[in-house]
Amino acid sequence: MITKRCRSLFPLILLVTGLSLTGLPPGRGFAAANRPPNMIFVLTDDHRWDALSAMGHPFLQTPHLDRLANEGILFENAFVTTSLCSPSRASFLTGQYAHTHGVVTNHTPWDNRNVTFLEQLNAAGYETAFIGKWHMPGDGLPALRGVDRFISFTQEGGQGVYYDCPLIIDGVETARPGRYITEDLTDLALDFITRERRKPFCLYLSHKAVHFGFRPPPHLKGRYRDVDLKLPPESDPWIPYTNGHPFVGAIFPLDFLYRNYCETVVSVDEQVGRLLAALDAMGIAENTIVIYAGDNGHFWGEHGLYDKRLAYEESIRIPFIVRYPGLIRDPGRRARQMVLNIDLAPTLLELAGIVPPAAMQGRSLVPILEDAATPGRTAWLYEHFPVFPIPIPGITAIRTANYKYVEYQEDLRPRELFDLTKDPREQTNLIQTPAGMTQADILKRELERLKQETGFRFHTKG
Amino acid sequence: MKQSLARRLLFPIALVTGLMVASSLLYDHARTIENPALHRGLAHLSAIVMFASIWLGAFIAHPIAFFRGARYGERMLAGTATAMIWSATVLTRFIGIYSPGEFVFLFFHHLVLGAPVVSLLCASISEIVCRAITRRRTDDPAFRVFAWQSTLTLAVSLTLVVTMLWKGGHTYYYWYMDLYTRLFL
Repeated sequence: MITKRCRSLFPLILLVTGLSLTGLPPGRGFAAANRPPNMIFVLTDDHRWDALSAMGHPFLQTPHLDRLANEGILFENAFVTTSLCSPSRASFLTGQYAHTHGVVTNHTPWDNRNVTFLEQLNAAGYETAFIGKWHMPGDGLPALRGVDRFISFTQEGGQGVYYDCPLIIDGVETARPGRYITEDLTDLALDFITRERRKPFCLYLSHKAVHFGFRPPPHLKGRYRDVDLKLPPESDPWIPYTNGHPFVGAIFPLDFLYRNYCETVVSVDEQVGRLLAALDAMGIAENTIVIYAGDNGHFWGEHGLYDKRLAYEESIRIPFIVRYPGLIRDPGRRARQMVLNIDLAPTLLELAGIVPPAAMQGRSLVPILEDAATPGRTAWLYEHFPVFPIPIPGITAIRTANYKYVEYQEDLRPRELFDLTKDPREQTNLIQTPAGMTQADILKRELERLKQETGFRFHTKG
Repeated sequence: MKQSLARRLLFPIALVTGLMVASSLLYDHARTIENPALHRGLAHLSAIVMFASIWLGAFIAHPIAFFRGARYGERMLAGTATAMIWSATVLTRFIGIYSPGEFVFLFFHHLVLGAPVVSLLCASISEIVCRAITRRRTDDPAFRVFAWQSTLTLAVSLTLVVTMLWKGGHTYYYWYMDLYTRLFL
């Protein structure tokens, strides 16, 4: 491994002069030519890990996301440390757990003392843009440091709307009549990446899609009207109305919502295709890192549930695809290592030749990108904090390759233990079995260790 | 003719609440049935009965109470009791998660307040219908269909329902959450 890394670093020594000419500090960079890589991070909302054809979805067709996977690495075990929009988004930006960056729910404000990877890339000479959903509370949008172009929206508490969503473009509120938001944000992203520039760029493109209310563009409406949805056996159309789910505000039959969700996923795929086509046309695809991820998963009837937040797989797993022809030697690989949303920031920094700061709690994925045999993490901490007015208590959980152990705030719900190898759908809670009790003790100790290691503290307000 | 408390008040409440409890249990049980057609059929049936008993049960309980001689307050209680019991069960999901102050504030969430308020609206509509039937039966011109109590209840409950549903409930929700933020965050 060390030898391989040294080999990859050796030609870069020759590039140090070139890097310094571009304003980048000398360090470990992964330039395909004599230029540091461009970066595009596409983040979608509520896009669960298996809602793409590359993951074997029964009817969804996502050729452009599949292309990303075929030309890059699809991480089959990618997770979020908190399954909720705002905390997860802040984790992508900072490389930190929610309890560290402080955005623990959708109501707790962003602390502008937080350092984002965009700020660090910008300081290292990157031209940066944040385009799309910010969705973190506070007094409007923050004065985000290290972002040359900041385009977002504040409608509906920062959720935005699918049609005619006014945008705040570099501080100026701008009406967008007649526009569909996923296309509109992609247009602005294309405008950014096709500009003439000397510096490398980093684009953070953060979609409203595919969040509720799941509105596809007109040409996709009805595409899946007649398909068999193949929803899980325990689901029924009434789930969004029952078991406390109305508090999340999506009161329509489950199958209606799911059809619209899938059609909206296709619209995201189309727009990813436009981005990839632009990179091809510009001739910069080889030296541009494209990463695609969702901010959390989503239940579609599994366990009789709708929405997210809980620690079950459908809620915490996300699509995570990295395409970087300049580094990845085995495109099309399916990586089995467990990776997290907090890994994004240190990964991008390392790829830019910047040493990730110690405050980042994620791990760079560069070793895994370089070498399929690199071991991943063995366990990680999941956390969820109560979000008023949702009837879900605080959660801490540990997920290993084979097991998941879940604890709830004040033991308001029974503890849970699942053998993910034998019971991947988490149908049988083993916590009361003799073997389960032994395993739970082991995992509880590991959970406490992870809490201590990450400085966990429980936040009750939000 | 005024009947006993059990017959004029407790029976209509028990009837509708029993329907709500039975259908709710059946709905939860349906998920465990492996036969997809049976599961789906039972889920549909039980969910429809459950929601009808919660939101529209006043149209059953109130007329029974009315024609068994219940007083006005008793009739309104009969019409809204099931919805209040439902809202109470909804609130139990929140016990221990939030502070006592936040818990009390939850009473004003439209999904908690909504069912009793809609039931009150249904009961007040039923009251007017029942009074109209009584007037026709008795042919008594002094008997008022629009008594001040029922008219006032209708106006207040209708105003609350429209307020809570305005713009798909978004307006009320954002008022509610703005107030929450000011009070608790």
